[in-house]
Amino acid sequence: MKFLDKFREIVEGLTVHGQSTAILKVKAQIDNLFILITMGDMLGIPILPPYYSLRLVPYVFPNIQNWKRYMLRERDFTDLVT
Amino acid sequence: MLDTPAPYVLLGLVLYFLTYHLYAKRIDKKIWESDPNRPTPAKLYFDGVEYFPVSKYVLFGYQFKSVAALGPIVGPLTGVLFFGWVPALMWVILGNIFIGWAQDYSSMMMSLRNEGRSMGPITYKLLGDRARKILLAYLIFYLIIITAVFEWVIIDVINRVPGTFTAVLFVFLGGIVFGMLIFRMRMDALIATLVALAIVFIGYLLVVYVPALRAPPTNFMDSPEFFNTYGFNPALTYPGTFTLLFWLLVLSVIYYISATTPMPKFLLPTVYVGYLPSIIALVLVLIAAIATPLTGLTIQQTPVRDLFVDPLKNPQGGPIWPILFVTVACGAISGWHSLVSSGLTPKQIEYETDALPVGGGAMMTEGAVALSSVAAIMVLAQPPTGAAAYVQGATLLTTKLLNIPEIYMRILYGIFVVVMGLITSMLFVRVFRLVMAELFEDKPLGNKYISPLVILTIAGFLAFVGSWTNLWIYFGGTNQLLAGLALLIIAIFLTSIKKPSTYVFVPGIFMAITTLAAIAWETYVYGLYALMNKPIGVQAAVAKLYGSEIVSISNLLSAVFGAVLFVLGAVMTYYLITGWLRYRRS
Amino acid sequence: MRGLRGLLDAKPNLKVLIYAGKGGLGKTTLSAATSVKLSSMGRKTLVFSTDPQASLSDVFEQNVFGRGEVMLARDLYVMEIDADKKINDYVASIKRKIIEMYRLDKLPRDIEEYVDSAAAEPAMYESAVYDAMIDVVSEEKYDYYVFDMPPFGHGIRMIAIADVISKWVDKITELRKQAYEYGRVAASLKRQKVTYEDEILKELEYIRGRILKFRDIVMNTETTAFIMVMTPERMTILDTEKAIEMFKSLGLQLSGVVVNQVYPPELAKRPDAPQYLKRRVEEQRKYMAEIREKFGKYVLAVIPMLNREPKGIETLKTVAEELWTPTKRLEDYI
Repeated sequence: MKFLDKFREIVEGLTVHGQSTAILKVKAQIDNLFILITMGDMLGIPILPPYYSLRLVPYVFPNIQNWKRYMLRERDFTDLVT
Repeated sequence: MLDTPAPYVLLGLVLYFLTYHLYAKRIDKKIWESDPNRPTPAKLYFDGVEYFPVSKYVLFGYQFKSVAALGPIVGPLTGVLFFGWVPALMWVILGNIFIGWAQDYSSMMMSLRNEGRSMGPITYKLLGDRARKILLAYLIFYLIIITAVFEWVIIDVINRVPGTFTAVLFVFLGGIVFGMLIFRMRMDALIATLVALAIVFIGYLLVVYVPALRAPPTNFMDSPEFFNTYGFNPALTYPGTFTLLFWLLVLSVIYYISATTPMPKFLLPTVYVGYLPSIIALVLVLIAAIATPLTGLTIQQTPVRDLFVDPLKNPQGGPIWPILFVTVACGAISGWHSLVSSGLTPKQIEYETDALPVGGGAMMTEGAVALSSVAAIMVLAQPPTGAAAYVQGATLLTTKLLNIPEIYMRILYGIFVVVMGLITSMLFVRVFRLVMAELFEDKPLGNKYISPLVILTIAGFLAFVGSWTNLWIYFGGTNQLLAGLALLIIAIFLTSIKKPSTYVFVPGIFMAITTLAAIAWETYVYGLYALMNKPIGVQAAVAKLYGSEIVSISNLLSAVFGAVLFVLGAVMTYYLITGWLRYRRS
Repeated sequence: MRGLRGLLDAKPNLKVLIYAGKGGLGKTTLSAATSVKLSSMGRKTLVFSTDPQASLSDVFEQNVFGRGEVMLARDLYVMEIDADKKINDYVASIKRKIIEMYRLDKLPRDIEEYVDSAAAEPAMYESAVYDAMIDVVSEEKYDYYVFDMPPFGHGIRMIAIADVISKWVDKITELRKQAYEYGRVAASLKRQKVTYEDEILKELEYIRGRILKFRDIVMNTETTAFIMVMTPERMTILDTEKAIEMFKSLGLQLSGVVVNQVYPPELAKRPDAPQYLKRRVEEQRKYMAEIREKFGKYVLAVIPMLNREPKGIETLKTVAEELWTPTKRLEDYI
């Protein structure tokens, strides 16, 4: 990698990386809420008619995996630091 | 040549370089056996949100930004003022070589080997729930004290460098505009950044060119007679003054907003916009320190002074051991880093071999910042106490380097210190709120809008009444004890996987004992003065204004904090040492 | 009794006729007869059913099950959907879409299970039928649509909660837009372009459209008529009462009741009438009286029991005429 690229990446880390990751985390929370609402029948809370909520499955598919991991992951006060 | 800071700063840099290549790389290879082929949490638990592989250069920048704020600036300067520049410089160099990088790097490595977990769950796994709870209680006290300290540092600069606040308001404006541009107006981030920077730059120039904007003046809420009556220096910041109270309220409002509004809309853009000019300031002062032989600035400070201070004569400061080792925290070793290094960064490390350049590299770079801070004080003949000393020193160094009017640099470094301080302390208040929410859930103390008030009230009271140097030592003590605990946890982890742990165990024991001693010392000083019903140093102002009782209450509160922290720390150290012995036997 | 003709006179814009009621009451026969009558007047008519038993195939003596729209006579079209197959195809297409979108070898087990269990839900069958119904009506190819509805279950709640669902969709759309905005900003900060358009928003809009469309079809009293089919028996009277209650609670309006399988009273007067028949007719008079008392204003027509199974277009014509313009008064059956 050229020096200039390295430099650009360091600046990226110094400036936008934290911000963009923090925004992604907020987005992930919204995504999880979305899945809870649309795929609620997975948890026994049907909100949309199942015939139609099935249509959304292909689009939320990757989030379902993350969502399950998110629900299972232990959360700790030391995670709140970053 | 030898009478300038340059050779000493360079010596530090060379030693860091050698440490990295001769010592750190060996630890990485021999003890942790880092292997680029071993899958990291970023790959194993990829979710595109927190867990995803990121280039080591990006992560280095991120890690550096996360660890280096006001710590490496204020700590070294206070160390120099207490004990002279030689002890401070030596600790910055040696502390980082033997302890600092090792803690940051090893916390990161430990997290990598524990599914990217952070310090809390790892402690739980190794030592059980009680140890984790102690760590949690410890963190809460830590956050309160560090907030009080940062409030002091920020206010000291705002008060003594008039115009700083006006310029900082432009930084906030830039941040808010940036947030609106990218979210509401859907503008491209690069263009929005340029707009925000233009706002910050205009604000800066306005303050530099329009003297009327350099307001409000120092101690504007207090009458000059007040200073005359009590024989105070009207150029300094004193506890108990109306000016201090005014700024505490202003800061509290900023903290409260940043803790309760959505992160992406206020806190993040402000941090982002504020950090950009700070990078320039940071690099500039380091270059200026190395260039001192060319600019003709020489060392004005005593190399060594007051290695032991009688607390009855001067309660601010103390014996070089343990006080120096807690005064200079970031740059040498800081416990806060163990939380950062086991936070987001290990979840995004692509190859195990990246942990050293990212974790270790960022810490050593922070060491360079600390060196530049030491240099900034070295060139001052009559440095004022507090963070404003750094502004003065950095201004002197860079003004000579760039050969421009002093006001340019004074305002730049005023903004720099205040923004860096705000960046971290806004985060502390927010973290406090989140920790309280986890702990108390639906009870009032867990409430989003109530818990920030708790920390702002307690920290505000401590800052209003307290002597800032003593608060700083407290902060250093808690911070460094956290480092000791983290090092011991790492030692236990290494023992549990049958690896040698001496390189972290010995520093861990050293830090734990040193900082327990420092906390005990400060508790003793606070307790002593509370019982004698006497003010500590500048607290005299508060005593004169509001009576000595309020000072004693504050000092008693501090003493209680100290006692609690000491007990928590001692119990935790005991757990860790017995845990380490247990793992060693099995 | 005003007959179907009376109903159409009162509602000149009527397009959709829905026959509702329990199974085994002759809904299919009446739907078929209605379509025969309407098409014979030169109006293009589709009769639609889902029930594989007692089916339109049976009534028209021609296998039309699962074959789409089949023309039986001039202006007479019939469609009998295979709901199970429709569901299976739909579920398979969803699974295929996931596999293609993410280039998977096979679906993860948990997702497969989730999709399959959703497909097996009872509300699924009803939803699928309504969906097909929305499809044909939306196409607007016919002058009249006659629906032989499956017995109502939970699925009909879709109407009652259409507004709630619509508001929900608003909320989740908002949520989705927010998430999209955050994603866009995060990408923009990193100098990346968001390459995907949010397909979910389109899907949500589609779902809302379908639900509201269904609501519009069944709630519009000008263009749609609900006709309950019943027989003069204790159980169906009770069932009909309950159904009318439910209609009210859902905000639907009942347009009429057709009483089916009624023994003509004169049958009992014949001297050679067997004893059981006399008793049966006697009993029936009692129920007819109850029907007049309870649903009198709704009764459109009374269809007498035929002496043979109502099959084939010709036979259906006699039923259709009685349905169109009843030859007797309701009182004649009491």
